[in-house]
Amino acid sequence: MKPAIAPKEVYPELTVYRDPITPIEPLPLVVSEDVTPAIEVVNLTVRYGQVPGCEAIHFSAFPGERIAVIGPNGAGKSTLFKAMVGLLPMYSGSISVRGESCAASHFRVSYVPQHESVDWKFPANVWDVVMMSRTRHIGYFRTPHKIDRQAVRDALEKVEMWHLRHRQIGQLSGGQRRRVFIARALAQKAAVLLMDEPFAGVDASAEAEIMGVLDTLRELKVTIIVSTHNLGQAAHHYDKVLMMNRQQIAFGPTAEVFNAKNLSRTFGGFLTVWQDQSPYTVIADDSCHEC
Amino acid sequence: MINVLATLSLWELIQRGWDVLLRDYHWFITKPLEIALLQRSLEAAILVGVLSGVVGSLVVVRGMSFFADALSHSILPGVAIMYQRSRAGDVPDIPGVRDANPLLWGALGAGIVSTFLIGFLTRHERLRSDTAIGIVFAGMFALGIAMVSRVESYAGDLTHILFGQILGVGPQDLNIIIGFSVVVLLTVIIFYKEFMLISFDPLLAKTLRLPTEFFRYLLLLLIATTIVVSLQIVGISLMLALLITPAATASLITHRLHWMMILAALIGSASSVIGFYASYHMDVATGPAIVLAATSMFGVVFLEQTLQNQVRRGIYRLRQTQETNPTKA
Repeated sequence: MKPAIAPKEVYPELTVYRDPITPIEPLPLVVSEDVTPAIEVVNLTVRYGQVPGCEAIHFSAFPGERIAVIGPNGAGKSTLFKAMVGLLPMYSGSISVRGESCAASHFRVSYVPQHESVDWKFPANVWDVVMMSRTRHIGYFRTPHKIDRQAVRDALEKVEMWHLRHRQIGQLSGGQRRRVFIARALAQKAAVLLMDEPFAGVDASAEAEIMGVLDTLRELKVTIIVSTHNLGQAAHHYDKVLMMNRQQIAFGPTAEVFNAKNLSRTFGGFLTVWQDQSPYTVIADDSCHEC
Repeated sequence: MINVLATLSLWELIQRGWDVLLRDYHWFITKPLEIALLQRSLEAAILVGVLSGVVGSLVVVRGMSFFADALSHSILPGVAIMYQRSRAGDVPDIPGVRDANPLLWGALGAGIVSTFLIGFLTRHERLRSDTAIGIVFAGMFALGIAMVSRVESYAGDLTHILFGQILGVGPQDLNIIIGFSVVVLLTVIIFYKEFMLISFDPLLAKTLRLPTEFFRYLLLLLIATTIVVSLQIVGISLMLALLITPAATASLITHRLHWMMILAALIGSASSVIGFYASYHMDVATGPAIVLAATSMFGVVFLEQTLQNQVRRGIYRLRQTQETNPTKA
């Protein structure tokens, strides 16, 4: 399949995107010398048998960018993530990580699963969980090397969990648990971090805590792609937004894309959006009572 | 012995037991071991205790106790086939199979077949795994009983298969148990970090491009081997206790997987020793005695922890009341 936009033409166009026209809140802009996108998804379609999971998703993310993926339940956000990390086969399209084909560099993409899918009673402490991501680096028939221990230590210090390294994972708070998983991605030396609903079921302080850690990751040039239900947060804390409902509705800088038309197209009739001359957009959300 | 037990209170019993232990050390500890058969049984029981503690930790951590129980029942047809053939004097002329207990090899074959059957049925999540396990388990067990029922005078042997016969451990059997134990333990040690990863987070294992299916089947095979090796000690129906109980006890004490394995191995072998002597001196079957020893260890640890929690909670409450109302306390 021919990519819709060739990478060389993409670059000047996307640099225009990087200057937000009317930012709701001024964001520290990442001026990246690195021209290669951290991850590039070209016309990705994933199907479960004949049922489409997500169709024709097309976007690219640069090092240090933070992208929100929003869409109603069942919009294929998790499907997209799983395909990006290589857990689901692609029906069509392609993914490249740092300009390389994904087959070689999938482990540069780290996936933080939804909170409920982890067994928190597992007999492992914080250190063990982070060390697990080094399994591939350590290799078969070997024990962790000094480099691996140093990587784990660095990662834990970045997310400020080093002092809790001996704690069993089930005895951590919600925010701390997510921080451990972020540390795991760091120890894995991942270029892209995919987080599936990291803010589901955490309180406001934990949310701020996780956001703080994500800010430090920006300095490390890690691209963060987060699926979220929290539209208010998506409007304020992310560089770009990907809206999807099976198909891609819109992708671009938050200020450009986050408007009434796109939102109502994404959420269908369930979401009512009022937007007039005032700078505020009023959104009434009926679609997900459980979140 | 039983009469004496009935008339004594618990404290007296402990004192009396201790006295007996000190005074009649020879009678209590070493005399049973003078019989080669019993010594062999004890060695086999300790090995099986270590092995099932280590493998059982993985079973407990992955929540596979139903699978383990099912697998131990599914080996019955293999046992039945080899039983029929050995009665007919038609044992395959393979070194190792010929000399040793042929039932062991039948059990291993059936265990491997059921493992792959269950693994295959649950592969693409077309069936819930407990459903697939239930189907294979009940089907294979029924097949085994049907086969055994065609043999005349099977009752005694079936009891041995179901409840274990530790005294049937021959010198060749012991060698096989040692061999399998070494292989299984080495595999667990070598692939420890991979097993831990696929148990905790199979998604991460897949994204790291580890052969997760290979390790899953390898683990199922290790469980099957452990079950077959333990077959003679506790039998089919009590197998689960040997795998689950020491590991569960260890999981109450520690929260790291390798310590859990080491502790479970210690607890497993300790319950084998206790069960063995209890069985010898109190004249009960060895398998149940070992399982009861393991169960009571679990009970003690669980109670101790509950009490500790209660005490801690009590102290906490006391402090709270002191802080809010110092004069009252």
